[in-house]
Amino acid sequence: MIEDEIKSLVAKVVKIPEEKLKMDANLFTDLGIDSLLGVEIFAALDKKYKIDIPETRLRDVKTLADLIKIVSEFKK
Amino acid sequence: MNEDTSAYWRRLLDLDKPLTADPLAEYRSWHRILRSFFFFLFKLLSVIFFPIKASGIENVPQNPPFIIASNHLSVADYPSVVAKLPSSLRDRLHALATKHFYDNPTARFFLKIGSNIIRIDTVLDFFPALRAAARVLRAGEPIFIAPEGTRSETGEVLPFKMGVGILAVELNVPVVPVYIKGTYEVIPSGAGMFRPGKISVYYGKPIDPAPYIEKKKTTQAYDVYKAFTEDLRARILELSK
Repeated sequence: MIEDEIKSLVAKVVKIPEEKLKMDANLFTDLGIDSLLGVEIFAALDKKYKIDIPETRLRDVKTLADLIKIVSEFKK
Repeated sequence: MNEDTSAYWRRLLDLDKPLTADPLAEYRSWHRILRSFFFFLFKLLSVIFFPIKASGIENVPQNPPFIIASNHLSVADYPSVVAKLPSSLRDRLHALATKHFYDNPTARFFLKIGSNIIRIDTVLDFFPALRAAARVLRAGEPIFIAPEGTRSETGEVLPFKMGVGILAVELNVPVVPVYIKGTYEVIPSGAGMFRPGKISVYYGKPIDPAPYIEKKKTTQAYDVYKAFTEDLRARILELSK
């Protein structure tokens, strides 16, 4: 499942246990991720899926669900 | 295991794109003709009202590209740091200025006299400025950065923004740490006029990014940039002792 893969990847990048990563939690305000760590998530996704998401799309990401939606869009 | 995620960051900096024929053209404004006069006046005033003691200036490499990074207390920081550099190097320096200052016509006028200015938006999107800074470094020129991103009102060195680490590691350029003391007393934030005082500028030994570039093979890029930036801040704090 791509959802599980992305959840696992994000947990690894931001160094928090997967179980603490809720689908609707705000990555930036609830988990304290800064914008550059957000860019690092895009960099890790680029490495894993070979998808080049523009960093400006970070504005569209608040939750893990948003991230999964964007990855699905770029994987098509 | 290869954890290197820097390919994406390198694309963000346009490092995979060739430089244009004259990548520095946009920073060469007519204001430069006033630069020598500006620094002559600044040095004259400093001799009389705010003597500048410079230590370790021999640590500044003679051959760019490199980055000079200092703490930030006052608008007097940049001229104080570069006043004693050779004019040939001073005239090649580029500096990042926040849009808060750059978008003010009066401030921009003086900024452009003092340096070759790159506008940076630290709030909404600072990647265009990072790309511009990367182009300048790739063209073999030096850059001055105040990694705190704003002036410290207390004298305490604030946390650093990571852009300097990204540039140093991805462009493989050394960073000269600089600690400035006394400029806040000479021109405090919001002051329209300088006050008499003493300024000290300490130039540390350049930080070689090579160990960090090696570290990228086993560590995600963000952590490497962050480690470099924290090391730089620690070196500047050491200079303050």
